[in-house]
Amino acid sequence: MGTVNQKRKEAMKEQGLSLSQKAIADTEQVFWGGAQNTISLKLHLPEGSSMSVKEAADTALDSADIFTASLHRGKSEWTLVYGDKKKSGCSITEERFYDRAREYMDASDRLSMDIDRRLYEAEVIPLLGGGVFLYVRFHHLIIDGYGMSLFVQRVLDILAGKEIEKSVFDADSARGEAVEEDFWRQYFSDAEFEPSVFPEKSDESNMCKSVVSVPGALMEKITSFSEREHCSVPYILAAAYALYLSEATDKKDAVFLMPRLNRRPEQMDILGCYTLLVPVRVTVTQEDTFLELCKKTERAAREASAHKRVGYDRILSALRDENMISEALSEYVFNFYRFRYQTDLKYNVSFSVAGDMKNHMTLTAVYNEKGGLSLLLDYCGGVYTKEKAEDFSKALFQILSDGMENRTVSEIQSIGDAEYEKAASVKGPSFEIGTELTIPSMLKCAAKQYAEKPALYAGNKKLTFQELDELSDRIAGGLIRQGIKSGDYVAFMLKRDERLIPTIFGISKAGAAFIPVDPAYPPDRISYIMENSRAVCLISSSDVRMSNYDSYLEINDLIMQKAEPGLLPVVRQDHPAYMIYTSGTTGRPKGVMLSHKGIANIVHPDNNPFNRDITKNCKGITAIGSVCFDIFLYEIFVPLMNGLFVELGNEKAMMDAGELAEHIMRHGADILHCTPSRITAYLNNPAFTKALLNVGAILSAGEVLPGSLVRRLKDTYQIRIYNGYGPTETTIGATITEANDAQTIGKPIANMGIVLLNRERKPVPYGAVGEICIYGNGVGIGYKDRPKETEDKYIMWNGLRLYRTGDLGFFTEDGRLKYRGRNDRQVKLRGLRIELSEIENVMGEFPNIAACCCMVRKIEKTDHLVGFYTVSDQEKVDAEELKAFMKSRLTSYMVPDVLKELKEMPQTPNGKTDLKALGAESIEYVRVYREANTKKEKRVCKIFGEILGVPQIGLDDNFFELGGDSLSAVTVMLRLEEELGLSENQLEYGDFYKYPTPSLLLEKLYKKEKDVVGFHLKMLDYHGFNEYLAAHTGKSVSRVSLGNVLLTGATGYLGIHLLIELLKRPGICNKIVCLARSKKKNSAERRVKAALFYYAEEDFSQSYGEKWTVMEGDITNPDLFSESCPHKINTIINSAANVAHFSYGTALEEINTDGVRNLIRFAEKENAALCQVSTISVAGMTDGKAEKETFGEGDFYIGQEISNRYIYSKYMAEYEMLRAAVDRGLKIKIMRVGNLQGRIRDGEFQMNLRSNAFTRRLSSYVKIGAVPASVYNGSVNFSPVDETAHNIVSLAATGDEAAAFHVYPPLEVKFADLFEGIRKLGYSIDVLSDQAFQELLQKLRRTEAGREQMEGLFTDETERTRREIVVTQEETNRYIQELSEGWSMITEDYLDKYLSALDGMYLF
Amino acid sequence: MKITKTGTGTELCFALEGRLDTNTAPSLEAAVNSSIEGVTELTIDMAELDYLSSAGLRVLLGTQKTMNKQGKMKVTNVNDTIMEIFEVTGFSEILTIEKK
Repeated sequence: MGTVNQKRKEAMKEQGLSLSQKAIADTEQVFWGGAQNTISLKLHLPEGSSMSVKEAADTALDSADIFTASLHRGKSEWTLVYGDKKKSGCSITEERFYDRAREYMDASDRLSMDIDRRLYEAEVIPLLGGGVFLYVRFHHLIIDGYGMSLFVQRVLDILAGKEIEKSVFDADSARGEAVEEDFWRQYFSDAEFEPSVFPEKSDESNMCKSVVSVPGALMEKITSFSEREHCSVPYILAAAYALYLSEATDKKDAVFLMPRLNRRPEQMDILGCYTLLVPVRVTVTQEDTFLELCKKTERAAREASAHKRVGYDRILSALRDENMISEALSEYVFNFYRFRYQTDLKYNVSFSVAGDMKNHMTLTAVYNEKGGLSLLLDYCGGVYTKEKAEDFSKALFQILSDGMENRTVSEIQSIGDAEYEKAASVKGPSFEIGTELTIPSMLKCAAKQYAEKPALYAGNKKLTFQELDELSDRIAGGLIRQGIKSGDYVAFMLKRDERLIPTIFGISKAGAAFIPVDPAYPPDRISYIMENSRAVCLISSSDVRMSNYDSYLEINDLIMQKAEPGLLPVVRQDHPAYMIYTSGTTGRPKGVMLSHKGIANIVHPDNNPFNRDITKNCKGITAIGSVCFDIFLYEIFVPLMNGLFVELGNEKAMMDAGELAEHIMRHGADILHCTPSRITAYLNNPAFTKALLNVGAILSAGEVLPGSLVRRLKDTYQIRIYNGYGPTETTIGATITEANDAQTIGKPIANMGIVLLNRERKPVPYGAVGEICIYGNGVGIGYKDRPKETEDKYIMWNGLRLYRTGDLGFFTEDGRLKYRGRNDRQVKLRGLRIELSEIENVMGEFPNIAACCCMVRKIEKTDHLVGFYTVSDQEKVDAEELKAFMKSRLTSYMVPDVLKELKEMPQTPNGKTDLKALGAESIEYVRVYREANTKKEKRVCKIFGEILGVPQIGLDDNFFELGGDSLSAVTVMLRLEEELGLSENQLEYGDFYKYPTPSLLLEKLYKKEKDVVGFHLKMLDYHGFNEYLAAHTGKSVSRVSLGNVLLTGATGYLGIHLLIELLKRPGICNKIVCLARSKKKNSAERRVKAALFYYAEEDFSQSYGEKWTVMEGDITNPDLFSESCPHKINTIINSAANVAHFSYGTALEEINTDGVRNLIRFAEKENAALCQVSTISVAGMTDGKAEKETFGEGDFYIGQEISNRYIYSKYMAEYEMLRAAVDRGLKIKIMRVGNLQGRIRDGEFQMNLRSNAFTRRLSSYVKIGAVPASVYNGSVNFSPVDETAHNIVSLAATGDEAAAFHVYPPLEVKFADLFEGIRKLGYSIDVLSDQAFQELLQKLRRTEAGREQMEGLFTDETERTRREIVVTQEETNRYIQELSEGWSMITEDYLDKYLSALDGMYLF
Repeated sequence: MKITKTGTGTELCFALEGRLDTNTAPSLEAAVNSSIEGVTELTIDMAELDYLSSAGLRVLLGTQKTMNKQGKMKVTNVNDTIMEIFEVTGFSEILTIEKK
C-alpha cells in the first residue's frame, strides 16, 4: 500500500472535467446545497466480517486515482486535483440490526455531501446477527452507475483473494462536432410528444423510492421472448416504457432519457464517471406488433447513443433554438444495469440515487441475485404518490404481459386492471328518475303544487304557475290546430318578454321539440337553421325585426287560442325536447338534438349541489342567458320545476350591469348565472354591487373561475358560488363544483359519469390528461342530419354511450376534474368559442389563397387570432382586402387581428400543416402609434390599455383589433362613465363599434369642443387637375351617341331610372348591358326586371336580349363580369354605390372607390368613356380657410374638408378618375347629383325609403311632432329622380368637351312647403325654437322609445364652426339649355303626391 | 290580372294571377272592399303573380291596414323576386308572408 501512496504523491495533478462531469457540475450549480448527485451502493455480505470488508474496500478505493480527487471550484471552471489530500478511507460504524442498518443508510442517502471537503464516504456497518453492509456514497462527479458496479466487483475480487489492477481516470472532455446538433434536430423533427404524463407538480421534489420485482411467470415469458425473437431484455423493457408514455400522454412519440456509457473499449474497466444522458425518441404506431416496437426502440436508442457526445445540454439548447421544445424534453428516465457480478460469495447489492428528484420518474432495471429483474422506481414526491408509482409498475407489467403475446400496440392495454377500473368509474350519485318525467309533465306537477305562487316576471308582467301552465296549454292548443305533431321541430324567435317561456312550454306540450332562434342572428344563419332543422314552423311576432323568413306563426294569435287538453299528445322521455345550434367545424352551425331525459335528470333538486342549495335556500333567479344557449334552459327549468320564480332579464339586462341590478331588485331574485368575466366587469357598477347583496347563489360557467373572484364574492357578499361544466350535447351540464372550489370543474352530477380517453379510446392513467368523455342520462340524441359527426362524437365504449367533448381534462386525487383546454382546433378566445377551421374555411374562399391556417398567438400579453396564408402562383392577395372580406363573412371577433403571407406553408413530413413551425413564425401586429396628449386622451388610452392588457395604447389603436370584445367593452364603458364623469346615455354600447379608437371615441363624446378630424385631402397628388378641368369647361356642346352602354347599379333607384331612360330613348345608345349581382335565388336578370316593373310597370321583355341584356357581375370583382361581356363597350355609366353614411368596415371603400378603380381598368381596356354618378357633397365643408367660397364644375380640390367616410369614398373615386384622365387620357364624365327624391311624374319614391337619410329625417320630425325653426325656415335640394336620370343621360351623350356636371334643379324646396304638405295628411307638427327643440331631444334621448323617434336625426349633426361650401352649376345649366333640356317646377301638387307616396308606404 | 276569390264567411282568399300594378290594383282594391266586411282571415295568394309594382304594393298595405282592425291577413306563395321587393321595402316586417 505504501507504494501506492508514494505514487499518488508523485502523480499530483490537476485536470479539467470530462463531458459527463461537466453535465453533472452544471446541475450541481443550479441546485446548490441539496443532496445533489450523490449515488450510493449498499453491498450486503451475509458472511463477511467488518475488518476484512473494510480492508477490501480500502484496497479498492486505493486502486483507482479517481478516489484521490478533490474538487477545486474555480471562478471560471471546476477542476479535480488528484492526490493532493489524504483520502478519508473506510470507517466502521456501530453494530446494527439489518433493518436498522437499512434505515440508517436510507437516511444517510438524503444527507447532502460537502463536496469541498470530500467526494465520497465509505462505511462498513456490522450487523447484529452476522454479516456486514458496505455502504459507500459517491458524488456522481467521480463515478457513474457502471463504475459503482466495477467497484463492487473489485471488492468482491479482493475478498476472494484476487489481484486487481490499478485504474487511471482519463477525463475526456471532447465534445461531438457541432454537426451533431443537426443530427438531434433531425432526430426530433416532426416529433409529437409530451415531456410529462401528469400535468401537475406540487412544490415537493423529494425523492421517493420503491422496488418491485418482475413476477416470475412474466419474467419467464420475457426471457423466452427475448431468446426466441433475438431481442435483448433492456429493449423489451424500454419498449414497454415507450408504449406506456405514448399512450399516457396521448402522443404518437414517446421520449425518455437514458444514461449511456461514454466509454471506449479500453476504458471499460476504469473507475470514473463516463455516463452521458441521451434522449430517446420512439414513435409508437398502433399497428406495430410489440416485437416491432422493441426493434424500433432498440434502433432509436442505439442511434441516439451514437450521437451522445454532443452533450445533453447542447442537445437541449439546439432543440430549444428551433422551438421544438419549450422546457424539458422528458421527465422520464430509463436505466438498465446489466452488470453481472462474477463471484462465488454470497452478496446482495443495491444502488440508489439520492437527493432531490429533478425529473418525475426514473426507472432502473437491474438483475437481482436470483436472475430475475428488479425495477427500482425513483419518483418525485410532488408528482407521484406511492399508489401512483404502484399503478405505474402495474401498467408496465400489463404492457409486458400483453406484449409478450406479441399483440399489436392497439390490442395492448396500457394501464393495469385496477387503474382501468378506477379511471372508468368516476361518476355522480345514481338514483332513479321516473320515466314519466318530461318537460310538460313536470310543469303540470309544478302547476298543481305551486298553483298561485309567482312563476314568471317579465317586465311588468307576472304569471303564476297556474297561469303559465294555462297559457302554454293555449299555445299548445293553437299549435296542434296548426297541425303540429309529436316529433315535429318548431322554431321560435321572440323578444325576451312574458311570451317567451310559455312558448317554450307550449311547443313542448304539443309534442314538438323547440329550436330557439335569436332575433339578433344574421339572416343567413336564421335561414340556415330553418332549412337545416326542417322546422315545421317558426313562432314569432310582429315586434321582432326580421329581414328574411318565410312565414311565421304570430305568438299573439297562439296565445289567444283555446287549450286542447284532450288533444295533447303523450310525450315520452326519449322524445326530442329541443335542438340547439352550435358552431360547427364545416363553417355551418350544427343542430344538437336533446331528449326530455336529460332535462328530467338535471332539474332534479338533488342532481347537484347547486340545485340542492337553491331549492332549499332561494326564491328565484334572474335569467340573463341567451335564449340560444342551453344554459338558458337551466336558468328557467330548474327554478320552475322546483317552485322558484324566474325574473326574465330583457335584452338590455344581458349586457348592462345597471339594468341587471334593477331586475334583481324588482322581486328579490336571489340566484344568478353568469360568466366570471361578466361578473368581474359588473363589480365596477355600484348599483350592481348593491344588488349583489341580495344574491345568495351564483352559478358560473363557460370559463375558468378565478380564485380571487370566488373570495371576493364570498367574503364581501356572502355569496355561494358554483362552477359548472358541460357541453350542449350532454344536456347543459356534466360536472359541477361545490361552492368555493375555484381550482376544478368538480365532480359529475347525478346519473352522469366521466371517463378520460386518449385518441385510441383507451383510458389514460388516473391523473393524466385525456379527452373528457361523458356518459349518463344527459347524453343527447345526436346532430341533426349529420350522421358522420354523430357517429364520431357519440360512441359506444364498454357498453356505455359516450359523448366525446373534445375538451381535455384530468382527475385530481379526490376525483375532481380539472379542465385543460380543447384537443381539436376549437379554441376559446376571451370567453368566446371559436372554431379555427371555420375561419380557415372563409379565408380559403378568398380568391388566390392557396393555403391558410389560423391559430391563437400571444402578442404583448394578449391572445390574438393570427391567420397565415400562401398565395397561388403568380397571383397577389392584398391583406387588407382579405381582411375586409373576412369581416364581411365572419363575426368581428373571428376575424384575425394579424394576417401574414408566407412563401410556403410549413409542413410536417406526413403532409400536415406544421403548427409548431407556425407557432414560431414571427408576427407583428402593425399599428401606428399616435401619442395621447390631453388629459382626457391619456385617460382613455390608459383605460383601454388596462382593460386590454396592452401597455402602450395610442389614439388610433382599434379596440377590437387589440383584442377587445363585447365583455371588455362593457368594462371600458363603465370605467369611462366613472372617470370622465359622463352622464348616462352619453355613451352607448354600440358606440364601441362605431368609434373603436380612443380618438374616435373622444371625438364622439366631445365633438362640440373639437374640430372634426377630416380626411387628409391635402396629401393627394393633384398635379395637372386644374389644367385638365380648365380645358374642359366653357366649350361648346356637341351631341354624340353613347354607343354600347354598360350600366352598373341598375337595381338601384337612380340606376333603374337611368335604364328606363336608355330604353325609352331610341337612338341615344346602341346596346345596353346591365351589370348586376344575383341575390339568393334571384338571378341578376330577374332582379333587374322585377325592379323595372316595380318602378315602370313594364319589364321590357320584348327588347330583352336584343336591345338590352343583364350580366351577372360585381364592380368589386376586378374582372367585373362572371362571364365575358357580350358587346364591346363604348360608355360606362356607373350608378352602383354604397350609400350608407355610417358603417364599420370597408364596404364603402370597396364599392365606391375600389369598384371605380376596377371600372377605370375596364374602361381603359375597352377604350370606353366612364361616366360616374357622384355627389355634390364632395364640395365639402370649410371653416373659412378654403381657397374658394364656391365649388363649380371646374373645381375639385379647393381646400375643402370632408369628414364623412361615404363622401370621402366618392371623392376618392373622382380623384382616381381625374388621375386616370390626366395621366392616361381616360374619357370621363362626373355627374354630381343632389338629394334624389320622388319622381316628378307621380311622386314615386325609392323602394328602400327607410334607408334614405332625408326621408328618415322627415319621418323623425313627424314622429316627434316638431321641427326646429332654423330647419323650418330653410330649404333643401330636391332632385326628382326621373328628371335627374334624364338629364344625366342627355349630358352623358355629349362630346368630351366637359368633364364634370352638377345635375340638380336650380331651385330648392322650402321646408315650410314640405311640412305644410305633411300637415295636410293629418299629422301635426309644431315649429319650435332651436333651443326648445334641443331640449325636447334631450328629453327623448333618455328613453328607448324617444331614441327610436329621433333616430332619423342622429345623422343630422349641427356644425357651428364650419359651413358647407356653396356649389354652383353655371356650366351644367348652360349645357342643359343648349341641349334643350330643363327642370320642372316643384309644385304643391307634386309635393302632395310625393308625400302621400311616402305615407302610403307607412313611413310616418 | 286575374283575381279569383274563394272562401266563405270569415275566411277569404284572393288568388292573383299576372301583374299587380296601377292598372290592376284598383280592381283588387274594389274586390277586397266589396267583400271584406266580417272577414277575419284574409289570404292573398301570389302563386301565380309575376310582378308587383309600387302601386300594387300600396293596395296590399291598404288592405293590411283594414285587416289590422278586424282580423288577420297573410300573403302566401310569394315568389323570390317579389319577396326581395318585400324585403327591400321593409314590408316583410309589416306583412305576414309565406314563401313559395
